[in-house]
Amino acid sequence: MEFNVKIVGVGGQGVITLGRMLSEAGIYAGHNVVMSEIHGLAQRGGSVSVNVRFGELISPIPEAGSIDVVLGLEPLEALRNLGHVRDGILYIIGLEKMVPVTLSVKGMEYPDTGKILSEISSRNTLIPVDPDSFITMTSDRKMINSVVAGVFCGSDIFDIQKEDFQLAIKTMFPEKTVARNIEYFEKGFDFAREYMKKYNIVVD
Amino acid sequence: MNLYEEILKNKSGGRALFLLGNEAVARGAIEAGISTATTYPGTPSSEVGDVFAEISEKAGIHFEYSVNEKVALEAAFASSTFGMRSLVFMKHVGMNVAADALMSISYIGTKGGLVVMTADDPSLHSSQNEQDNRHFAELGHIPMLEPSTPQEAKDFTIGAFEISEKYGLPVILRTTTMVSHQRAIVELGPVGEKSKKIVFEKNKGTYNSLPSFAYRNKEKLMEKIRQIEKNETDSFAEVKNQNVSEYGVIASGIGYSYAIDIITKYSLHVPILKIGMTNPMPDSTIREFLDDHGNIIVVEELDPFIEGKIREIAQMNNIPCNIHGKMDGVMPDSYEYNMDIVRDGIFSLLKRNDSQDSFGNPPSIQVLRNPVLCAGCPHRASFFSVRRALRLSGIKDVTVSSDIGCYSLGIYEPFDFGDYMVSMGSSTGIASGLTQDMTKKTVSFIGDSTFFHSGIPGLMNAVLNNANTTIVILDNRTTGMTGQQPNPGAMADSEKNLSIESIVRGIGVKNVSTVDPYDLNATIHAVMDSLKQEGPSVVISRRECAIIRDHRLRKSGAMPVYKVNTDRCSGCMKCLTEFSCPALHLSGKQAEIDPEICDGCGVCSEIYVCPFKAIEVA
Repeated sequence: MEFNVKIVGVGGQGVITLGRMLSEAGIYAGHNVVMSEIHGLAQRGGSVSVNVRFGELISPIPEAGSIDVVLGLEPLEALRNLGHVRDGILYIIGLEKMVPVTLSVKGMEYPDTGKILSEISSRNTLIPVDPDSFITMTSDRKMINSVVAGVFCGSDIFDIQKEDFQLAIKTMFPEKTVARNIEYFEKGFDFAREYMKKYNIVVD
Repeated sequence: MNLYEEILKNKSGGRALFLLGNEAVARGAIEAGISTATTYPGTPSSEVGDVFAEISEKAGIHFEYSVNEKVALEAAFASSTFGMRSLVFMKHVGMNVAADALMSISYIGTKGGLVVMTADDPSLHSSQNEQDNRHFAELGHIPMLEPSTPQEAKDFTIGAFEISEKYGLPVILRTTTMVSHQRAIVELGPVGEKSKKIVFEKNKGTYNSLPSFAYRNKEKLMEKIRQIEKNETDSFAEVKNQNVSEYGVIASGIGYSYAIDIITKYSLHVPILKIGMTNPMPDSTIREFLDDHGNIIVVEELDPFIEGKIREIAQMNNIPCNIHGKMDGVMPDSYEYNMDIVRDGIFSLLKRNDSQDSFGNPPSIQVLRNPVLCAGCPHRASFFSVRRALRLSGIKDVTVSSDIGCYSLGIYEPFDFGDYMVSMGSSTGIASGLTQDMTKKTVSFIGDSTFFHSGIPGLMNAVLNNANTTIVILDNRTTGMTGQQPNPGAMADSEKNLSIESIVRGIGVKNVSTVDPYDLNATIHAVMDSLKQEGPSVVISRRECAIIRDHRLRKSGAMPVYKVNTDRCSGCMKCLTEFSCPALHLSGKQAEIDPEICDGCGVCSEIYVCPFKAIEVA
């Protein structure tokens, strides 16, 4: 048995932090975990991806056809996976748009987010996570990864409990932000439950 | 609690931590009782240093970011000659710098264990090549261990110290990006005692590499490596998934991890020989494996290093077997492996033709997202000013030699700076060679840490050749790309700082100016003045790295954010097309600033970037 999560976003968004949250929570839930990280030049505002793998295995990268969930912190970065991983899986996508400088420098705008999401959802199950509906304080915007972790947990797609995530958050974050991160996690958790009920989404 | 403190704690072992391969190397060295650790930062090795930077004082370990890798090795070697266990670590290309010393140190030998860690970078995630550093082990007759997982990264580090001390040889610990940068559960062991500092025992015949002394040492070196082959290689070799089969896999490093996972997942009855010590190699174990399994595939990243050795063993022992790998084109000889590549390789050996997954069409919208200089990065301001100065000076076509650091990103639009970028410190050396057409001015960019590392000899050569170049030293007070490590000009204790101005003047550069790149007007004029000079001149563009500045300002809560005044913005888009900060983007017909990304440097509000004065404090 293996379960593979690919986490994508833009360098600096907290992709590694989200990966570690899932990993630590997975360890508390009793799973073996291997995670790949990305450091160095690629981190500077470029496309980044990390893999979190659960199961009795030792390699940090899964087969492309064995990825079960994509967690995206940015729509364009989530879209990039189409054709590189199998279709028919769950995408949980934070909708914080990061405009690539490659567009700005040519005086071009960010593509239509609705179009991006519909292309992904035409081939996969999608739970979009709009940061505006969870986070009002600008200084907390980066905590969107705790919301996404909550959505992942609330989707019930993998056997890691709420309590495991709470423990992970307590271990990982500085004391003064633990309560807020848990609060955002819970919001994400509840949202996933409601959203899936509303749209009759079932994951297995 | 902070993870690095946890790595130091737990002296009796028994606990498990979720560690990066590099963090596991640091823990292994602590368990091995090291006294000294040295490095020059470089991805993918940097996090080993991040651990020591934080805990070395508490651990009683001398840790330093040395000026470059060669110096780091020499310092660690000196510590070893006193009987102290010493670790030196670097990225793969750093070994090229250190190799001059390393090739002699193997002849000389060591006293306290000396482990040289090289972190190779297959697929060039953060490097200018993907050289396979296992060849250094063979070149210098140096034993080498290759871990596959973070657990092994820790355990092999300890093993490397033991072998080094037992045979009096440096030992190479070779990782690759996917070993160094994977995180997994690591069981800790007990922290060993540090070796007692002893007095250096003079021994000219050993420590002095005069030809006649080195001549004798060569034979001793070869004997040591023969002994290691006989006594040590087998304890790092292991046959897993033992089965009677005509097929067999031989693998090392991360290749082993992929191979064993594929074998397990698809329930293949194929035994796999894991080789942990790849120089020297376990000759008799390989022989037996070849005797038992006539169809072999070798799984290793980069060069056919093990494969060549295995073919050699088969040939020398007249073992009839089919060996597959890179040399017969079955496995790729460039870039990282992954599960899919290794699965396809093993399946082709087994003549399995399972249909592979195809994943449908690529997305209809494809936008490249290159790494970019951060918001507030002083290099962006410097690049903007040099571009403007060139334009104002009427210089249309200029040759630019750039160097290694975040500022190598200047190659991308809109700056397009970097006609050359070769190796650490090469900007000044190349500038010194661009002297064929002396009427043409050239421009060079080099960062502060790279300048100290190896840019100084090139600058001397530029002075000696009277190279007609403007050298811009981008002094951001840190080693930025690898994670803000100190450098000789920006030490934690600022009293120790070396002065770039003094060095440059001491070398004989007459025109030297220092500017704050956030002051575009002053920088543009300083560069224009420099462009007018005949011969080499230096502009030192000094302003701390935006990451350090952000950290400081966020702590103090005093970070202003800028916004676009929509009444004033004409939509000229100069800020986007000429300055290109990631906080700026187009929204409708006007520029917009993302307050989350903006770091309040305010450079975009200067009239050179926004002639309409439309950018102001929010």
